[in-house]
Amino acid sequence: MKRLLLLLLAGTLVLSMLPLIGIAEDTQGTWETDLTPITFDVYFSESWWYDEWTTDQPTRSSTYITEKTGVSINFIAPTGDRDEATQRMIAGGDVYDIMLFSVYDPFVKGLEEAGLLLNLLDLADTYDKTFYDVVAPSQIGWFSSAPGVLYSYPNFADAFEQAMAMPDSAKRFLSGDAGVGVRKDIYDALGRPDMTTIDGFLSTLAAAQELYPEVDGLPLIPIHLMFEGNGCRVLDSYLPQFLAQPITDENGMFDRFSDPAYIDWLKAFRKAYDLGLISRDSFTDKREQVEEKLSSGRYFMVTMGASDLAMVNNDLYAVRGGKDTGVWYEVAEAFHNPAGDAPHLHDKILLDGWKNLYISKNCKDPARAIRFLNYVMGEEGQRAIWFGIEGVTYDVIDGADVFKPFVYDGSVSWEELVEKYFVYGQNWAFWNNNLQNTFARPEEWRPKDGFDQYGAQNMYFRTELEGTYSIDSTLFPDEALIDEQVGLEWGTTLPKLIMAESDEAFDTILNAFLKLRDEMGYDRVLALRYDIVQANREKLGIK
Amino acid sequence: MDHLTVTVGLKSRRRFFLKLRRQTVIQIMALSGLAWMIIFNYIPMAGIYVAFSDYNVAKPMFSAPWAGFKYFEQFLNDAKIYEALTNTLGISILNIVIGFPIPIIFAILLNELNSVRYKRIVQTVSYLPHFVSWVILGGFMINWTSETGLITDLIKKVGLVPPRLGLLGDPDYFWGLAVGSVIWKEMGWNAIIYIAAIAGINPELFEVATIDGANRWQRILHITLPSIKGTIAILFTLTVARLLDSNFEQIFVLYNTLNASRSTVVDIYVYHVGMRLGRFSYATAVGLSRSIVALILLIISNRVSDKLTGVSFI
Repeated sequence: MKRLLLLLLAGTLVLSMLPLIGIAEDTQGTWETDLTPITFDVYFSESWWYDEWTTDQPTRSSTYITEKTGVSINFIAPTGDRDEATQRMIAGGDVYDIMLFSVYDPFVKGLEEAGLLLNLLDLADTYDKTFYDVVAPSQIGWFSSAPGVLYSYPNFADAFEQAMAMPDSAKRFLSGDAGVGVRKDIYDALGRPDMTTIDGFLSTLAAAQELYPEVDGLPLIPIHLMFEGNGCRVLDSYLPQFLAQPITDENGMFDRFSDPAYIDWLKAFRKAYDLGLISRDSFTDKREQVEEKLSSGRYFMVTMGASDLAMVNNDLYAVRGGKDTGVWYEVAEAFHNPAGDAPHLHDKILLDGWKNLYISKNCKDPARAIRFLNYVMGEEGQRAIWFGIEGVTYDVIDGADVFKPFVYDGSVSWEELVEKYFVYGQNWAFWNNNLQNTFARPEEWRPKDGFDQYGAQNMYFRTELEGTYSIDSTLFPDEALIDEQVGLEWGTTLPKLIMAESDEAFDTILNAFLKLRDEMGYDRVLALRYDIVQANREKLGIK
Repeated sequence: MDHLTVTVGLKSRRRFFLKLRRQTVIQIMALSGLAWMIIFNYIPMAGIYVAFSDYNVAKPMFSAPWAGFKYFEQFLNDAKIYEALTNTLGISILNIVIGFPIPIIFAILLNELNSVRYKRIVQTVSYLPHFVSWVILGGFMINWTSETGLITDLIKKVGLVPPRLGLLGDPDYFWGLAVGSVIWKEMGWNAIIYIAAIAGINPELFEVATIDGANRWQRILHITLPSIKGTIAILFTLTVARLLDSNFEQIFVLYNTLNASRSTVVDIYVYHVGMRLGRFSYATAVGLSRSIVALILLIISNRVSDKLTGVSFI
């Protein structure tokens, strides 16, 4: 932390000294310097993109921004196959003014190599230094392809140091990959028993099944699990987080199978299957079947991401009157390690963002482009994009911006909200997480399941894992292939483990898998993951 | 002598152009068809270059470095591909042995119905499932075979014990389920071409046979079947050529980790280790090898058909 502070301090010092050095002082300016109308062609690299930057509705946030800055946006999306269209565009060198790509997009490398992108740091130094107020220093470091060379303007991206300093009220947007939810009516009727130990978990599921054998004439399913081609997310990804497993240890990447508590919990699931507490449908159901079961409250216990659960709960509230019957999911404690540690839920910080903005060599006015981006990604632009126009979609009450209720209470259709106002998270092309996360949300909007507080309380920063979840097959083809093949092998092994007749049979199957995994060269995958984590840590300044 | 040949040559050439001029409209229609084939079927064949190079989506195709037979070796050395091949062949052969004759039998049975109205209704109802996509039908099948599903209940009602993990959870039932559902879905649709062929038979043949005292069975055996022999032979040849294809959509929705040992067909395996990882060169290499096998099968089955029935289309 001290190191980070020092770094920050050094960064600010350097920045504050830049004007003294004095480079091309006369070209400096902001969006206010030039207000003559201009239209930028903005390429959005997905064919499903439908947004339009229109100015015919005076109530629209886009109209407000265009009138203020003189900049209008003409969105262009590829028709047909995005890869082909993008490749054609790059090969022809006929690139648009501004383009949106994910940093993982293989095309970014191509654009860079072909010299079709402008260095944003050069643009900022020459035309508009407010860039350094909008884009956090750590983001500049994170996205730079070489020291002093930055092509990507962060969009939907969190800055590490700002996320770390976020108050708890804002942390809920970043926190908690997952939580455990239980049906409130059943859990209350059972007397809210402890599920953090294996015995408590098994006896609670059994008691739930005994007390509520049926839901609408169909059997209650004690626990929600979904087995897919390469495993089961609850058991593979969430369970280690609940057991507070570390990411690395002295041997490199931490292998979740080396944790005896994890093996014990997997065996608890085997026992649960033995006792008839895991439905056989879990192995054959696809997403549609699971969603149907969720929306009728057929599971007693679910483990999933907060936003997924919020959708389920909304449905249960509206369709089934869950408010009165108690048929909805509330957060609960479960799956602790023998030491009883609190879960280490991975954060949802998006360091890489979603679709970053790139200014091209062909840009008709690079100065206006960087100044416009600094405006629209800055405080005022972001406020307009989230809240809209004062008096139209929001009011200032006691110094705070408050939405007019029609925006979020459902009295205006979603289409109308987009068409007439373009606020409340509808504009995806220009989104600065560092500001958006601090803007007030209506209390009504907040789910009542308690997942967000739980997530914020149990969040652990796990940002250094970015880039390790699925290995980039263009950079590391061999490791990506091994990982995929081991995943497929695990996908068929895991159901066998859960359905094993005894703990001894379980051990035999697991050991056979681990041996096979080693033979397939899984060490290389772990080593690569460790290298990525270490590189990330260095970039982020984490010890 | 020389003089004569030249005149004849000139004459025939002039006749050719005269004929061409008279057929202008027809020729334009044919040529646009030809152009379509060249553009959409022949020019894309250049894309097989991908199979022999280290292709990268972000770069133009022909700038990829040459990799020779690397990707062919990769899948031929992969033990898993043989399991996938077994499943593909198993399902395909069952589809041919059981699935191929059924539409023919169905068409003949329909033809023997006297009530035209009833015939029409049966035919329409039978081909309706064809219009339900596999994504939807796969969802139905998962629901029907689930713990509380229709088929599971039916099996219980009949007094049998359903498989412990359900029909879709038991690899032993997968091939049967895959073939059965294709037959159920496509029987009516595939019968249409045979019904059309049967409709083209001269009705006088049947009348004469009836007068000569032939019964229904003899009429089917000696008139209907020989008359649609050509149609059957052509469709059979085409079906055999598709031996290494599997119905990806269908298998994809019915696939799960429990039945993976019997449901991982080549397409699914390539999807997992090729497309999902963006290994286009690998996927193209597998596709190309399959096309070559299909071509060989097509030629063989065409030869066989030529020998047996005298029908050949190459």
